[in-house]
Amino acid sequence: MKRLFYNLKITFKNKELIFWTFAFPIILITLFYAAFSNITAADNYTAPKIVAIENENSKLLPVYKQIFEKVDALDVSFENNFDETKQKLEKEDIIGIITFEDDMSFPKLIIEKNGTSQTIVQNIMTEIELSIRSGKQFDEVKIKNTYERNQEMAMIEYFSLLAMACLYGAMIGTKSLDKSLANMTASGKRIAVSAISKAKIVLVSLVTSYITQLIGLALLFLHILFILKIDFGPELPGVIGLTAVGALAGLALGTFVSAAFRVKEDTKDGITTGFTMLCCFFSGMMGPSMKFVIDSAVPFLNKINPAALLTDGYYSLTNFGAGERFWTDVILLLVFSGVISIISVKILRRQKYDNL
Amino acid sequence: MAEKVIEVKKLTKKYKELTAVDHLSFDVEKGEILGLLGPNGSGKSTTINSILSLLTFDEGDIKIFGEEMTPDALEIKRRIGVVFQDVAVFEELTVWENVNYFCSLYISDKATCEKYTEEAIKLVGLGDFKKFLPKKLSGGLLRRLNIACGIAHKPKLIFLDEPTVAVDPQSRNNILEGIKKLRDNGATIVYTTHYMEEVEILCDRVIILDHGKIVASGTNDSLKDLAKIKEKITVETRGISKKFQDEIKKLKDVVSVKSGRDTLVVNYSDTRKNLAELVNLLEKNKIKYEKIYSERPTLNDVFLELTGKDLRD
Ligand SMILES: Nc1ncnc2c1ncn2[C@@H]1O[C@H](COP(=O)(O)OP(=O)(O)OP(=O)(O)O)[C@@H](O)[C@H]1O
Ligand SMILES: [Mg+2]
Repeated sequence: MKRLFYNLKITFKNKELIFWTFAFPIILITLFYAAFSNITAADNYTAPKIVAIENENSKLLPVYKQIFEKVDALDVSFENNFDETKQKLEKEDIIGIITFEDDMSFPKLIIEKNGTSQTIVQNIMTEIELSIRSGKQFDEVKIKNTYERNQEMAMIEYFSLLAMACLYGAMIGTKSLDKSLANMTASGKRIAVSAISKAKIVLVSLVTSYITQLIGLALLFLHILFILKIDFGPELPGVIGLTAVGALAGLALGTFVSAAFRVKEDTKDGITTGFTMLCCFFSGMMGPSMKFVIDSAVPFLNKINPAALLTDGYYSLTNFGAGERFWTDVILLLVFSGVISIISVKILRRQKYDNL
Repeated sequence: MAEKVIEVKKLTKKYKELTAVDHLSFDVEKGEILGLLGPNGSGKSTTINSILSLLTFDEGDIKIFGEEMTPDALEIKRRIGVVFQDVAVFEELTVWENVNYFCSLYISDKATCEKYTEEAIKLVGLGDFKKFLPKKLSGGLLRRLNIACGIAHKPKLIFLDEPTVAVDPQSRNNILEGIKKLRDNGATIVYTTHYMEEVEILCDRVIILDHGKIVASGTNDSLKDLAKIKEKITVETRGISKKFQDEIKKLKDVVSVKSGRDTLVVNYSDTRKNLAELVNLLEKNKIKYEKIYSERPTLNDVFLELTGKDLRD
């Protein structure tokens, strides 16, 4: 107990570590937020006005009319006179004009300038065209307006950031256990010759760093919820819970690196960072195609990769609520933490060093 | 026959090609202070770290309290205290907290642990510095803290690896006194150093190491007897001719004559009336001198003679 207190005191006096674990995620998420906020501000969104020119010979126009009715993101009206409409466009009363050729050819979009609204219109038109080309019924195709899409992207980024904040806690785990290892620090030598079992050393190190990490995450969440006012919706408790479990997995990972690799401190930090990056990479955090590849080729890997479990947990939580898939992810994360902590203890148990 | 606390048999430790400890065998008896004496790099720290199961070794058996020593022999470890050569304290904690921290690694009862912490701090004389952070302490005080951290839990067996390196004389005396007290309270102590005087003052028995091998071992006196030199006479004088030096060499029992800038040292292999003889010879040749005195050889002289190397290089 006493030692836990001392360990915390030691950890908190390490300013650099505190900065990286506490301040860094907060700064990062603020930057993300700033980048997304101008397009995610829901209240300011007004559907861009566009005009479609009627053409009785077009076979696609009726299809489009049907679709436009369902897309709130666009404000479409229909006109017959192209030249009048063109003037409106030049006066910037409208954002774009859609013209239909005869028969089955797809419509053309005419825009005057470049801007957010223009981009949104372009994206939606492309989306519609694709869905028609692929022959799917419009009902089946989820056409989301760009606002929603942006918000979803922002959410994915926020979740990736939370997952990363969890896993980068591995660094705290590594540093914390290193303090107790004979080959890393002088005081570690002292702890190594003392009557404390390796299991206790690992446990104390985990608990210490977990407390540190939880405080850091609490600050992060306070910042997210009360300063940035990002809305995680009704699943907020689940998001927080999953993050706390993820943090434990990150620490366990860091502890394992500390125990398993007998290298210099810097190299160890490098391995920890590399390890977490690799986990994130395989989990699709840096491009979703990777997760897909792993899912089909070595699905097992996604079950033991904490980053993959975390992203999957967040995803299933926001899409399907706290169901079986979510709880499976949570349990697998706990199992992962437990197993590699035990392996760490086993490794350290009868550890001697070739040199000190 | 006294109880053996440590038994080391044929301990050999290699760092790549370098053999740091070479088939070393020795015992440590209960209640004694054993000095491990040797110059830098002679393998003292390596020996201690091997005994403590921190280092792997290539060959050998180590028993402590009659049982084989392993990294998870917690019951043995509980009774051991170690003061490593490098200062090992937490920069972030105060003097008192540091001692308390390391004590708590052994003593789970809070009140006992605090009592022991106070006692250890008192033993090394850091009472006035309890609230200081280590970086505020001078080198000597830091060493004392280092010792307090290693012995606070009242271990039965204590290893001290050069605890007095780079320490001012006052701190050194304080440390040596403290170590004697620990022995008087019943601890067995292994003490490494390359200071001859410390071994002479402190240790009951000495093992002299060089290149990881035992060069000589025994009590202080028996080691001195081992060496050929029995008496050493120093003459403080200037400019003694080569010819006169040769004349001294012809005196009975003279082993060697060494002349420095202001001194002349004459070594004898026996203790008779050497001083009187030498004084006579000097008078006869009308050689002026400031002082002349006779000494028993120190362990340093013994080491010099046994290994051809000076301890303090
Ligand atoms: N980690 C290591 N790797 C390689 N060689 C080492 C290592 N540690 C020590 N040595 C070598 O082993 C030999 C014995 O070293 P050791 O530290 O045991 O000597 P020592 O008697 O404690 O010396 P000192 O008085 O300097 O503390 C030395 O030659 C040293 O250079
Ligand atoms: Mg040494």
